[in-house]
Amino acid sequence: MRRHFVYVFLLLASCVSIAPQDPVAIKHATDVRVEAEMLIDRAIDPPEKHAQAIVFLRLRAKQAHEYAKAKNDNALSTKQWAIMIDERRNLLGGFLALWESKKQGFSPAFLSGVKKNILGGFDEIIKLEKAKL
Amino acid sequence: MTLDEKACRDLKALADAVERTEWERSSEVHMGVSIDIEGLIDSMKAQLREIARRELGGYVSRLLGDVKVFIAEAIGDVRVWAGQMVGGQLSQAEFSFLVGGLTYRMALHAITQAGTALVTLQRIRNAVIDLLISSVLKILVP
Repeated sequence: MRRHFVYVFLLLASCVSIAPQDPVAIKHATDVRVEAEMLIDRAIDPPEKHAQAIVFLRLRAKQAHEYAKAKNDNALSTKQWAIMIDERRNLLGGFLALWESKKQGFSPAFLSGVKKNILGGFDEIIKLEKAKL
Repeated sequence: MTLDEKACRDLKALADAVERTEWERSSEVHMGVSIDIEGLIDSMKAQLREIARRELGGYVSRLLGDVKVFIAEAIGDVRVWAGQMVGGQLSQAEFSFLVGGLTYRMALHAITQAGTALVTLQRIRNAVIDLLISSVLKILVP
């Protein structure tokens, strides 16, 4: 019985796998977080004024998502990036899409809430990466 | 099938059963080395308990504490945004966008918790494998 317990335990444990901690992934997330924060602060202006910065931030976030996707056993981090950049969801991707479609700047109160959600989301991505072995 | 063939088959089945029982009862022989499985498990028991205590002991309370803090913060955010909507600083559409964003932030938080649980399991697996290897080596190379 005890032997069976150990075998079952080892079998279950062997099914578990998550990619090791990756300093490059942490750097991607922290860099994009800082760039997102700076751009959100500028979103009191109409989007045309920051068109290049919007394209650049989108590119950087997509690169980080692709980097996460290319790694083995990295489904959870990949999913987090997918949610963050998805234009139909209300985090970074959704915010940039809303800004462009609205064609004008936002109120400081709205931007403060947006910042809390998006930066909080990045914190979760970073926290997961840092928790890995 | 002749009677002899049947008797022969039954005898073989009996021999297999005896052999299996012997194997399960005490020890196993591989490559000419005898390993006392029960003894091995007994010797690992205390250390397995220590691994479980170390890795899982504070895990559940940490997890619950973390979720509690997260939910309290989320409720606080919704209160602030609702107040701003009433005060005219946020439109209804903006309020809805922020609450939607909060649900996705919660999704990211849940994924982080799931990942942390996986990491804990992985740490336990590594510790058990290390323990198993060192225990077997102690028997094979005393």
